[in-house]
Amino acid sequence: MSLTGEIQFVRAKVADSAYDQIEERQEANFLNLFLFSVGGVFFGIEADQVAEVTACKDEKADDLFWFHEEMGYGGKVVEYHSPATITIRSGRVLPYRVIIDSMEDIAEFSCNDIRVLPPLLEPMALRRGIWGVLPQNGRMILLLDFKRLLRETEVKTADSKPE
Amino acid sequence: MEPSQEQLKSEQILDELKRRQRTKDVVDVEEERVKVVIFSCVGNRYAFYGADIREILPSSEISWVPCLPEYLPGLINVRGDIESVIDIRHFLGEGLNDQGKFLIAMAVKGDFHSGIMIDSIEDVVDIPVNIIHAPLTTLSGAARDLVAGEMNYAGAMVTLLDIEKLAALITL
Repeated sequence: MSLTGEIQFVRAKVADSAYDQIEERQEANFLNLFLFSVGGVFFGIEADQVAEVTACKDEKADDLFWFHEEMGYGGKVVEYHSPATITIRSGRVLPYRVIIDSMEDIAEFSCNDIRVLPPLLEPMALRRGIWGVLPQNGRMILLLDFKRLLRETEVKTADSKPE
Repeated sequence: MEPSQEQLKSEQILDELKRRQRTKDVVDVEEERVKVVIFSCVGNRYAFYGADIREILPSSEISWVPCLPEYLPGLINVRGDIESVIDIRHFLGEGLNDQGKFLIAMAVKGDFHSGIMIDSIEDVVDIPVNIIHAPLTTLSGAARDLVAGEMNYAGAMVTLLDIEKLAALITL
């Protein structure tokens, strides 16, 4: 290869590498979210956390929870119109299933659109796995991490156990 | 010389006194003034220091967040920034706002920033600092923990609230 050819080859490689880095950076800035609502409140969880979505059956099980009870809706009356059960990839041995309402969508969102929680309520929200807010089309989607929620629950349970 | 042409000593003194009066510099000490935002809440008048209030927003949809205490009704979107909202009635010993008609005062003090629900704005005015006096020792109720002082404005008593004290009360 001539010197000019070599230079052109190296330039092309550098350009390709730069392009790959930009593409990788762009890919890293997007989040695939599973959107649903419960009691009029919209939530988004990383789609990778959802292992399975099944129809809600009238069952009771130790690994099955109503979403509003897990999240602390308090005295708010919650009606489920089209409940579904999602199995969460929790990384734990025991499965973790949650009954949600109104599955909305699975879509990709830019991380640039995500907003941090206000400092006044962030500590309380993080303890429930809510880590950010995605304003979309006039509504606020609360970003939820079930792994964080389970971790916080386990810590709380460990702290409350008598020594 | 005729005695009438001589200025009487009394006249001399009087002239000197009047001359001094005319030339006396009147030092007008400008009173220290402070801006306050006077608002109403459940029929009572309260105020915040104007320096602690960034802006007043019209009522907007508050997005409720589970797991928060009652005095934090939720979040609002302020030009792309997400802010918390405090229902100050909780701290004034009143029933919580049923989110009918209200305004939101955006409070900023140090690291603390949040919207505060109020019923309406009465006035934004500069007042002499010396009309603010310490709250009555007999003042009781939940508001006492927030009070910076009291003042009489336009014939009515206005309770001045301290944003820093409000921030200290809210612990999560």
